[in-house]
Amino acid sequence: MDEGLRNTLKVQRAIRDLTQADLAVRAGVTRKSVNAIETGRMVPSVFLALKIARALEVSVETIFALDGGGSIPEGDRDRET
Amino acid sequence: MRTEPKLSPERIELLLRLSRRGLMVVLAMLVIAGSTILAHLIRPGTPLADWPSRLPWLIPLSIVFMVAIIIAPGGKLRWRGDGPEELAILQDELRLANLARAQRFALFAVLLSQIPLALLLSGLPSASAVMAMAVSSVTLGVVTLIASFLVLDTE
Repeated sequence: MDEGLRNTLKVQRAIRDLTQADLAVRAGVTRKSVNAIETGRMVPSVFLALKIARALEVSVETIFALDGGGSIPEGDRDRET
Repeated sequence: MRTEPKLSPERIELLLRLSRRGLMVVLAMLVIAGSTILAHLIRPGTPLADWPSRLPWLIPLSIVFMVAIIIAPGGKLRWRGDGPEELAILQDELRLANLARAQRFALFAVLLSQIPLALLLSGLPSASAVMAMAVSSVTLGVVTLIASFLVLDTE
């Protein structure tokens, strides 16, 4: 089965009006890593995914989901938090 | 909100830029040193082999010049092993993944080059051939490692 990881990182970042550098600082990584995850060039580890989710104050599933598998919950899910 | 220790994005970017520049300088030094040693083993007496004995003052001068290239743009910026920005860079997943890929490229390059190198150096006396194989393998491996890391690390 050919499954990829899709993410809504760019959208979540835009909702909070954060730059890649801002998010990188919050998550404790470099801006290049954030950019690579956003563009799908890199699949983050569970640890990094959790750090990014914590930095954005959402659940990991709000940001990351499997292609063709479980869907990313509706965009409003993060607004509940 | 819980966040990581406050990092300075400017300092991270500057450190990354300095690190790239440093790697480029190391790459250049390795290419020069490797090719000089190889020339000394394969074609002694040529200008490439003999420049260290003809122009010995050039070695310390070039070392000072290269160190200045690395340090000068950063001003007072220094690498602190335990600084939060340095830790963020060292533990950055993208960099670690790129380093792992670069290591694989380097290993493949060294493995693939062994037979061609052996054929190429077969005309030399055995002691020189062994030395040349070692120098060329090490140089090729490290140069491939650094060069491919620099390529993979670009956005």
